[in-house]
Amino acid sequence: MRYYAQYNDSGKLIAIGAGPGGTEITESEYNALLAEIREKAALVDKLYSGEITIADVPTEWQEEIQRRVDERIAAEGAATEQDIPAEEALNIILRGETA
Amino acid sequence: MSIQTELARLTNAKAAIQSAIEGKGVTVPSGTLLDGMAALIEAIEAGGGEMDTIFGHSFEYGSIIPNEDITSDYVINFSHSHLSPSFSDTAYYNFVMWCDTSEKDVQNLSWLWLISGRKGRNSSFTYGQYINSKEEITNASYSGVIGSSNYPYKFTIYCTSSKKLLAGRKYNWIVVGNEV
Repeated sequence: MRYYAQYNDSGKLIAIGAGPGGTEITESEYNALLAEIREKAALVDKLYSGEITIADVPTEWQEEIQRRVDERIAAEGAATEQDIPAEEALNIILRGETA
Repeated sequence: MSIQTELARLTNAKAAIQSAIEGKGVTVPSGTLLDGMAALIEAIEAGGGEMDTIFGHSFEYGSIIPNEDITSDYVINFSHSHLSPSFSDTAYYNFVMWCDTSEKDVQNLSWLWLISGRKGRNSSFTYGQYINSKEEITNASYSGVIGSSNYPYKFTIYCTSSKKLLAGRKYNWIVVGNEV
């Protein structure tokens, strides 16, 4: 299986994967990147849920993890508004019901 | 036959074997003797870059694991080497992507799966589902698009803040040609 890492024009890692595309990497490199990606994703989840504080995040990752949590809070607030069905929205507007 | 003739025959045969091995993408180190060729032959990757087929059509597959949540259009580029020469916009193809749930549960505001296929002559359909903020499976008719007419070898997944490809989650995909 061919493993790859995909970067944007600024050199930032976008994704890793198997199959075509990106820059080919070894299986060991893929597994190392995968471990870091998943560790960071878990920290984002825990910080978002309040299970940990930013002090529990490795220093070199704190800025990135906090940014990702802030982005998630901002995005999911907007997403919640988008996902209200039309009938529910009508009820809120016409009947004063709450979301 | 003379010893000299036999030596010449073996030397030519060794050169032919070396050429064949290198033609399959494996380098033969300088000085490799005949008894070292077997190991190099075993190093030749199975399939040799030949086109894969399923149900009689060429296909290709892969997986994606985002580094951070992807909330904007994401393009999957196919490799030409595994797809038939007639894989073109007039044939379209069947593309399926799904979240690998073998390790973890699905999460809100993320893609579950999507499929794209041939609707009719020079037209296609795309459909999928995602999990909304209320943990409900939600239909998404606006989910992606097959590559442009002059370059069909890609698929664009429409990602938004409601339909993400999540960081650390594995998404598998497969494309099957629909050559006519």
